[in-house]
Formats: sequence, C-alpha cells, structure tokens
Amino acid sequence: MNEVRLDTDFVDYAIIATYFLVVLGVGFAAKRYIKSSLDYFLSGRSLPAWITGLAFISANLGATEVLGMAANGAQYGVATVNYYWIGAIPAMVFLGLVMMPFYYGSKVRSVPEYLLLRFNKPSHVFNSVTFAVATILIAGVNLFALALVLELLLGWPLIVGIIVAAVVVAAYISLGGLSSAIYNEVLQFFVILAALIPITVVGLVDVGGWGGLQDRIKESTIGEAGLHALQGTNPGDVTNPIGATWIGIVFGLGFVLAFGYWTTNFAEVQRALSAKDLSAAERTPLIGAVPKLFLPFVMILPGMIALVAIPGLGSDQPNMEYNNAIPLLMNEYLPNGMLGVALTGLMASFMAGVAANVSAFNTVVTTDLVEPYLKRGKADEWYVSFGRYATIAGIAVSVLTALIASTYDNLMNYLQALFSIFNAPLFATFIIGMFWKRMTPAAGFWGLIAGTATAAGLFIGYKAGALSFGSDLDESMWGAGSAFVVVAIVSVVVTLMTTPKPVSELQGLVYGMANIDESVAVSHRWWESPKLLGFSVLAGAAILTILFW
Amino acid sequence: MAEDTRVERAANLFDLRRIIGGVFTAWGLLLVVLGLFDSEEEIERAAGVNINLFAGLGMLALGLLFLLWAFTRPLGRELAEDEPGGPGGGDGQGAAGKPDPGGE
Repeated sequence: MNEVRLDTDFVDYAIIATYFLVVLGVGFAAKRYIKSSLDYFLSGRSLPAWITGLAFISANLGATEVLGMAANGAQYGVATVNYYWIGAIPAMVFLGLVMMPFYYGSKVRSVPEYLLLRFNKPSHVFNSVTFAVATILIAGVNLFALALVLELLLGWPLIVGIIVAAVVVAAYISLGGLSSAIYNEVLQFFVILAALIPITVVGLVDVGGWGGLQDRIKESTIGEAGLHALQGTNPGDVTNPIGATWIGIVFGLGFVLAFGYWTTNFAEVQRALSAKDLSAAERTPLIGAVPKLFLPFVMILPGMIALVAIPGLGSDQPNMEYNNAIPLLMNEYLPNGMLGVALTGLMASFMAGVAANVSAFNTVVTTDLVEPYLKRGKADEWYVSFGRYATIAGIAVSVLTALIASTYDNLMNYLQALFSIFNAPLFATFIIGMFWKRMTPAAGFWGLIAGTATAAGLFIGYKAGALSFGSDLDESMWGAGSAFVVVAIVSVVVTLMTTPKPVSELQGLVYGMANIDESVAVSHRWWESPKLLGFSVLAGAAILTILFW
Repeated sequence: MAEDTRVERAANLFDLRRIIGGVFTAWGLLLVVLGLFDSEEEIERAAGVNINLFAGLGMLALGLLFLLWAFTRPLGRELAEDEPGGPGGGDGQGAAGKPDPGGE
C-alpha cells in the first residue's frame, strides 16, 4: 500500500483547498443569480456555446473516463482511440446536427419530457423513473471511484472520502443548480487538463519521446499490435489487443453504445438545452467534440507510458491494477506543487461526473415527476426549493449506491451494463420515433418496456450464471444490441395495431417538422455554422484514425 | 437603469472567465516560484524536466489570457452577445435581459 501513497506536503493541500473554496464560491455566486425554476434547472437557457460545449465534454470526463481510458491505454494500446474517434465523435455530431433541432426546438426541459410530447404519459413516467434510478447508480460509481483513489493516494478511509466528496457536490449544486454545475464543469475541464498534460509530457520525455515509446511498446506484452487503431480487426483474423472485429467496433461501439449514450443521456443533453439559442445548442456537442478529438493524447498516451515506465503494471501485485496507471505515474514523476494540481484534477474529474448526474437527476425528478404528476400548480419557488431537497436526497442515496458499486471489481463493466439496460432501449425508441411519424404512443411505451426488460433480463441471466458470454463487456454489447432489435420489432408490431397521433400534434417533434427558432435568424458569423463545425470534426476524426491505422 | 447596473455587476462577479483566470494565475505563480526553488533531486525524478516551472508558466499564461479576455470584453455589457473575438460582436443590445425562453 505504502509504495503508492503520495508524498504530499502543505503546498499540495493548499492547492486542493483553493480549488474547493472556488467551487463552493461559484455555488454561492450562482445562488444570488437564480430567480426562477428555469434558472435553476436549465440555467435560464442563457449560456454561450463555449461554456455549454466545455461543460458537455467535462460531464463525460468523470472517474471511469479518466482512470478507465488510461487503463485501457495500458491494456490495449492505441486501439483504445476507437472509443473516441469512432465511438464518440460521430454520435456527438449526430446529436448536434440531427437531433438538437428537436430537443431544443420543441422547448422540452428534459429528455423524458420529449417522450411525453412525442408519445404519452406512461412512457414519460417510465423513462423518468428509470433515468432517475440510473443516474443515481452512476453518481454512486463516481463517488466510489473517488473514494478509492483518495484511499490509495492519501490514505483516507473509504467512507470518509465518499462523504467529503458527496458533501461538497451537494453544497454547490443545491445552492446554484445547473449554472453552478456547468460553471464548475468548465473550470474542471481546465483543471483536469492541467493535471494530465504535465504527466504526459514528463512521461514522454522519460521514455524517449514517441519514437522511444513505440520501440518499448513493441517489446512489451501487447507488442506491435498495441500501436494500431484498426489493424488486425478483420473477422476471422483478429490480432488487435481489443479482441474485436471492425464490424463490432463500428456497429456495436460506434453505433448502438455510443449513439445511445451521447444522444439520449440527459446528463449530457441537459448541457446543450441550457444554451442561449438553437445555434448554440447545436454547437454544444460539436464544441465538446473538438477537445474529444485530442483527449486521447493526454488520456490514452499516459496509460501506454505507464505500461513501459512502471514495471509490473497489470500484474497481480497489490496496487498494480491497470486502473491505477495515472495515480502511479503521478507518484513516479511529480514534485510537490504539480502533485497538488494533479490530485485536484483527479478530484475535479470525479466531482464533474457526480455533479453531471445529480443535476440531471434533480431536474428530472422535479420537472418530470413531481411537477406534472405529484404536486401540480405550486409556485415556481416551491419547485426550486424542491429541486434543492431532491439534490441532497439524490446525493444521500448515491452514497448508498456507492457502497453497491464497491462490490464490483471492474467499475467500467458495471457502467457499461447500466448503459446497455437504460440507454440502448431509449435510443432505439428515440431514433424510430423521430424518423417514423406513424409510430404510435403505445408503441413507444411498449417498445421501451420490452427493450429495457430484454437488456435487464440478459444482465440478470448472465449474473445468475444462466447465460454465458465471452466477457462482461461482451454481455453489455449483446444486451445493448438485443435491446435495440427488440425495441424495433415491438415498436413496429404495436404501431400496426394501434392508432398514431394526428400529424398536427407532432409539430417540432419528428424529422421534417422541426420548429424554426426565430432567434437563429439573427446574424451568425460563418465560423459559427454548426454544419461547418460538425463536418470539420468528423474529418478530423477520420484523419486521426487513418494516421494511427 | 439601477436594475441594469446591478445585474451587470452580478454578471461580472459571476463571470466564469474571471474565475478560471484567477485560479490559474494564482496556481501558475505558485508553481513558477516552486519550480525556481526545486531541488536537483526533484527535477531528476521528473525525468530531468522542471515540471513545476514549465507547467506553472503554462498555467500562468492560460490564466492571464482568460483575465485579458474577461476585462477587455466585460460580460455585463454583452450578456446576450458573448462570442469571443468577433469585432463589433457585443454591442450591448439587450444587456440585462437574458433571452426570454418563451414557450409554455
């Protein structure tokens, strides 16, 4: 244990302390600014695109992302980039260019609310409830992962770490609502980069630059195959360390899992909905996609450096799990001062993950469950204060779910299983409902239920030992894929047996009938064109994939 | 008018660019000072790179850029029109009023 314990001094703690003070200060500042529930839950739909865009990417830079991607970099090498350039960028561009006009244009306040307008109340309630459960489980994963790192690096007992992190996040979100969450996410984005870039630079110098790293990777356990993104993925002849064919990567990862996560996860979409106009909302995921293009260089690369620079990484020795790649590098290289910044960056990333989920949770519970069904027609202030209580309650529950997460040995796989159950069926329902006007409300509801039940059934069957899959990840891929297919079949069958909504009620909700937002008519400079930005990012992803082929 | 200046002041206080700029300027200065006094042994550990100094300079530059941006284009006057760099962009139109969400 002690070999990983950091040699921190008061300078490091001073840096961490200033960060926490600023985060809380933002919460107090935001509180003074909040006047209505729209301010609290959607930042008054007033934020500029650069802020929502960076918050969008930061909401995704949570615990499992920062530690998990470095771990994958050490385990699979360059092939991990597929999670970015194939498994995220196209979905983000699709969200911005194709789906955002419906989300933002229809003025819904949440993803479940879109289901209410497009389908009916039962599908709204069902999705709101499953979403609330899923976000709390995910927030728990982030809390738990943070506590693990604090225990490993600083020797804080697990439960103390969980509670300290929970209290700070609860304080700034219940004070400042979404504005506070988003503002802190943008700050967190820069702090996380300030932690990762120096680690990568020092590591690269140490292993002799990119050339030196390549030579040493070739001699390592993953060998030459660890230096390619897509080489060795032909069906029947898979030599890539990730063990998947290009068909699995493109359709399983790039389509079902990625599109499901990025386009329907309200913790992400909420950031775009808080933008000041449709153009800014469309640009939110696209601006987020720009750093996403380059994040592999500071997230996957450190993992690969750790593989060659830390002897014994990935072995059975204590604390040598791949997940510890970044903490081990910090311990290896960083002097006091930079160490404090790096620790702050790690904490920031965990808090970003918890905050994104909790702020989405309080919005859905308040505006999708309490306001329409349980306590109608209360004063606006009542809902704001209810949102504050929902935040605190949500965090309290996520402390408990953190304890559930502590029973899983691989958090990334636990998360993927959650996504396959909650996001894949939702994505299928959305995509069919958006592009097929005839799809009926009943079809939306039963499709969702059947898809969720399918993925949950596979997961339970697998856990109970009744079904067997190649790996945990293989189970999630199959769960997501079969949920998608079941939703499609059920939706078509039920649609053919029930009556659709009149077309007049679908204005602004289905493809070909998007609402035109007048505010967009106001002049936007050519470089603010969402299409230009979207296609440039796609081209960037294609070029990078070819470079690392 | 009084309402306008109050909102403007609140907006400036709450300007994210000033917050990021302030935090990074302070941390940058701290790291630069630490870097200047770091021992050989500590530099040796970081593969011979004085990482406190270089990271500190980088963070200082980022912080100062944010402060420069925030003070040359104060948020109070351009709440509605706040994209960076475009000349003649924020003309102060609709300063205090956030765009009304309408709907509902």
